[in-house]
Amino acid sequence: MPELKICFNLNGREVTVMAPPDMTLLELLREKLDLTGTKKGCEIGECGACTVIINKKAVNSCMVLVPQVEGTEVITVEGLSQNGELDSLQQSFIKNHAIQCGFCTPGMLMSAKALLMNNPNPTKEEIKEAISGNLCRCTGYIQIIKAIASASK
Amino acid sequence: MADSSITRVDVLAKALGKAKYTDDLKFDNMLYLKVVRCPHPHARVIGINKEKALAIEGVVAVLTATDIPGLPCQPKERPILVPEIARYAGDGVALVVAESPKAALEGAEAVRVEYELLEAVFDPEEALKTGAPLVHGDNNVAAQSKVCKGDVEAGFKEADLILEREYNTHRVEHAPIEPEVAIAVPTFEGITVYCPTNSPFQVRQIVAETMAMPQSQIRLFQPTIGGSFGSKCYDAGVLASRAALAAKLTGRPCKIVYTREESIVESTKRHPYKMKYKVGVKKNGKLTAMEVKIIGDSGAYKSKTPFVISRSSIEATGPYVVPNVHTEAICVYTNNVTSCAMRGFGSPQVAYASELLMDELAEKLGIDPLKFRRINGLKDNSLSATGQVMQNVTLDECLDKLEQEIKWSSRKAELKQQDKTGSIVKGLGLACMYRGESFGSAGQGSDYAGATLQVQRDGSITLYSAMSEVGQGGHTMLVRVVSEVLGIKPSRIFVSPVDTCYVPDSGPTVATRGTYVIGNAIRLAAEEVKAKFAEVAAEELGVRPEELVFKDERIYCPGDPSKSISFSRIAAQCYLKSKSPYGYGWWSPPVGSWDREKGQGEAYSSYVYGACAAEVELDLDLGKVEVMKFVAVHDVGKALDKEEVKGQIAGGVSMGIGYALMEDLVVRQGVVKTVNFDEYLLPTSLDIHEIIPVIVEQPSSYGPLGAKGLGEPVMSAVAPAILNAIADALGTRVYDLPANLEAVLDKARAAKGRCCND
Amino acid sequence: MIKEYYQPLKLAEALTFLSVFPGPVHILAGGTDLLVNMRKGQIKPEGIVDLSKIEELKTISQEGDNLSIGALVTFSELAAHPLVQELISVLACGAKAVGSPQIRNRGTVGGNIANASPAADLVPVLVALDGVAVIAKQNGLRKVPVAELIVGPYKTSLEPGEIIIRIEVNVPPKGTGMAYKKVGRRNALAISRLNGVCLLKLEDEIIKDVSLIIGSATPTPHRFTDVEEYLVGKNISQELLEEAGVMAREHVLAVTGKRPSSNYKLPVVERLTVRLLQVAWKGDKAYA
Repeated sequence: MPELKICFNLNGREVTVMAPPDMTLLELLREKLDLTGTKKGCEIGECGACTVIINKKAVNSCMVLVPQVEGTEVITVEGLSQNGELDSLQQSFIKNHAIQCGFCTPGMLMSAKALLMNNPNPTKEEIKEAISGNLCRCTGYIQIIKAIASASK
Repeated sequence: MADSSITRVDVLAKALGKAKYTDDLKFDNMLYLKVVRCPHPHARVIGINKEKALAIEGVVAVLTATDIPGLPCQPKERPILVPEIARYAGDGVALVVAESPKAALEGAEAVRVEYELLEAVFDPEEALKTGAPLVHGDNNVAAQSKVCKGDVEAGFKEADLILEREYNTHRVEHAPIEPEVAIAVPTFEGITVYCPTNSPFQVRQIVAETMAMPQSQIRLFQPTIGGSFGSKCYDAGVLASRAALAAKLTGRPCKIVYTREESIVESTKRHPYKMKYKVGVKKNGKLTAMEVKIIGDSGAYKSKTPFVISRSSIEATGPYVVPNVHTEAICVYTNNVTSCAMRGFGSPQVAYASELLMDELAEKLGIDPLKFRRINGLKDNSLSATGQVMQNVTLDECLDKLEQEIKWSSRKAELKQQDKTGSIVKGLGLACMYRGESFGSAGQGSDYAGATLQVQRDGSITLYSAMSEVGQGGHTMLVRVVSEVLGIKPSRIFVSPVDTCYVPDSGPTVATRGTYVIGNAIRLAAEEVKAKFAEVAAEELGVRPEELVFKDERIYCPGDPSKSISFSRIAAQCYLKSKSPYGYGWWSPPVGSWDREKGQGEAYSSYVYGACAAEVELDLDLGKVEVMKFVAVHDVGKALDKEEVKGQIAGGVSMGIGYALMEDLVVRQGVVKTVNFDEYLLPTSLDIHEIIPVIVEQPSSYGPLGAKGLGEPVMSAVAPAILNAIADALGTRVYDLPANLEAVLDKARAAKGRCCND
Repeated sequence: MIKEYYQPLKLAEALTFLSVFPGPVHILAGGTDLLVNMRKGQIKPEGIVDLSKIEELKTISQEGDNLSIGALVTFSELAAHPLVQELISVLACGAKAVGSPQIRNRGTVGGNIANASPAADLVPVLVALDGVAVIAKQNGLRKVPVAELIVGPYKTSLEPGEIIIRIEVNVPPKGTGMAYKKVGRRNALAISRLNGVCLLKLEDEIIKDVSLIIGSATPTPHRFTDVEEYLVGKNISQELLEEAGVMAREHVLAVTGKRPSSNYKLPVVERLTVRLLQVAWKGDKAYA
């Protein structure tokens, strides 16, 4: 099948892309749009490294076909900082030592961002729940949870 | 300055999503590889038919072992591509090179390999029997190691109680979230390989051997690494070599990146152990003798098995004084997936067994388990199992802090009062650990590191070292050391990425040796620069070099404020006066004597200690365990950054919780069954409750600024503390890992007097 | 190889497409199962109908004693919906038990049924509520109880050209006790080792009505009618619940026979049953 033309809003800008229908959003971001901040860890929605935000909700971009994003608003880790200014979550992750190898970090940030977009003052339990689809092998989550809590204040 | 928390040098790029991991790199005209793997645990390759694959649009080549210009592997090591015999279900047989990942995948599916199936062996004990199928050579012994001290028979005679127990630990996966990947780019001079690894020089060596090229023509560049935990050593060497082979033969950049399934099927794992302990103890709690037999599964290839088993045998008694010891450890080849280095490197298995054993002895003797550890724990001038006179032993300090933090006695008493008639019961358990730092005299490899430091004309500094930043903050540690020695702000110190073209060969970032060995090398390099700069500054200021202090970007006489000059000014002066602004450090830990026959001597020049406690909540109806609270006390020598240290500890605890309760790499008849993260289960944020890291600081005599290694020790005592807590809650013990739903339910029902089959 | 990717805005368009497309065609709802299976190569669709833009399939509404749930409602939407929380909180529990926030944000109620996994988290709740799937095809609708629609592990009686468009569940009478529990090897991203749901209506301590399912224990989720029948009309007591537990266990054994997993599952089925009934009876959070 020929490539489809897909229009959506990506990190605040309207974009139009041509993509085969069986391409995942993750592949589109990484291979076609050179947005490599979104990571590939399992490709079956079990690790959360590829998490992006679609219409204010955290989703695994490996579980979304490109045509499905038609007309939506997508935010990736590259869209978090605005005009060179770090998002408060990014600052907080740095300040609270929430980053070790960093491979889960973009996905973790996006899950956290989606949480704060819908719930600016989450409880610790809500934070843990929000990142429960994001595996981290380095930190034991403790400092990530602290970082999100501190960014929400 | 060492106490202040500085921002890690690598995290800004990571937070922005701009850090470039290997799979994020692209090169013009790049090709993609896919591996054709043997699905059988033991098979002879009879023929490989490439025709159908080559007919697929986009497939450029199908490579096999005959295309390798150099060695497919060293003897008994895992081949880059199998020349004849595949020894596990995952061995690479052919490599499809294509214009796109999709074409490579289709090509790999189209390659037809004809196999002659060979008899396979999966159980290490079976593999040792005469007549067992041979994996390598004329027997299946991969490595053996012994520790013999005193007379165990005499020791058992002295004992009032003798206990014999068997423990089994299982096979687990490193599971860094970044899967294995490598890119090779052919250059006019040789090959440049981009590869996340903690062992850049070993990977380079493997590539050079594969390609029959001088090591100096292979340039290994290390992009950002998405975690390793020991996995990105030999595995990385295999990928790098496959990429290099394809790149050289096609003349184009080649990328090989594994899916999670490929990663889990092919990559190395933690050694599963069966451990038999016999121990004698007196009524007063003093240990008299210990006999340990360990049999480990090396899997299909040798890898780091000899070193892993050596460490296990040395540390098998735990951090305790045992007058008479006989430990025999053996690792055996099977047709299972290969075992290799994994965080802890042979320590977690024996820590698990010895700590469960200590707990049970204490229980049998009616002695509080914490007190029991104190009675037998190593102290300064104690003789270790290898007969080493131990110094700077901090086990008691660790136990003190643990006792305070978890309020051991009162909490124990409270839990004793709990109502155990319901479905939910709680338990409290502890475990201790010790671990030799770095490679040690017993021979985990020669141990050295070099590092260079260049002061630029503007006084900013570039560091060159082989320290892999695997997420542990290794680069930041180097910056800290240099900052401390030269009085320069961390923001003016830049750590060069690891590039084998420029950085001195310092071995791998493994064995908790990064801080210890490479940290010392960079300290020496900084001190060399300090001495050189002091001379130049002394001349400028008209004082003696030894009067000068380096602090706050200045070099000055503390007694005379007028005698002061900026560091950057002296840097400029060096260039002006043709004086060297370079520093070079080379450091090697002291090597003690070691008697390999008896396993006696100074096994390691220094040791770290820790004590952990877990409070668990068990659901007796479901067999489910929650680790509600985990206190981890570790002697880190000197915490260069307390928050970073706490992050390392929490990460180790989390991995230990996975090891204890849910992670399980299931292999049936040599075939890995848990191939992705839906089946291989890592702990999630909802599985981790309270983790309390506690730091003990007893400065090391050897580590830079007194720091000790931390990455590996934090894993060792976690599983035994949890299992001891489970035993406390249940009143009966789980001896084998993992303590999953089934194992715990089984024990819970047995404890209630119900048979598991009723 | 996908030859056609069709993204209609109206249900009617989707049904027409299904009726004319010649090759194997798959329906894409949330994609959380379909994409996994496509990646594994287990399915190779030539046509895909993407329902994600059909708004009429995304509503939740109350119609008399029924709650109607659009097939494209995601687990997150279901769990957060005020009507669900007010009328059938156990549906929210089942929806929240699904994998992770990311999966719940994509996965749909209709998809959970169509995938027919024996370990589905939400399906047992729908069955316990006597949920009926409303299925459309080009020339008409049919209604099938969810319990009948799922005929085996990963098997439904859906025919080519059919789309589940909504699920109608009974709103339990006021005062019905509800309980849901999932047992997994970890607390998120877990496949149900077992799960269970219970609805319990008492009048003066007499059991008037009860609906009980232990999921992931049998090839298809179904109400444990033998246990239910035994309980109805009886005076509730701890002893009675214990008896129900034993019966549930016998029920599972009768359905599955002895299996390697029975050593674990059978005793847990018993305890889970008792606990679900306890929670539904007393709202005892300790066992929730």
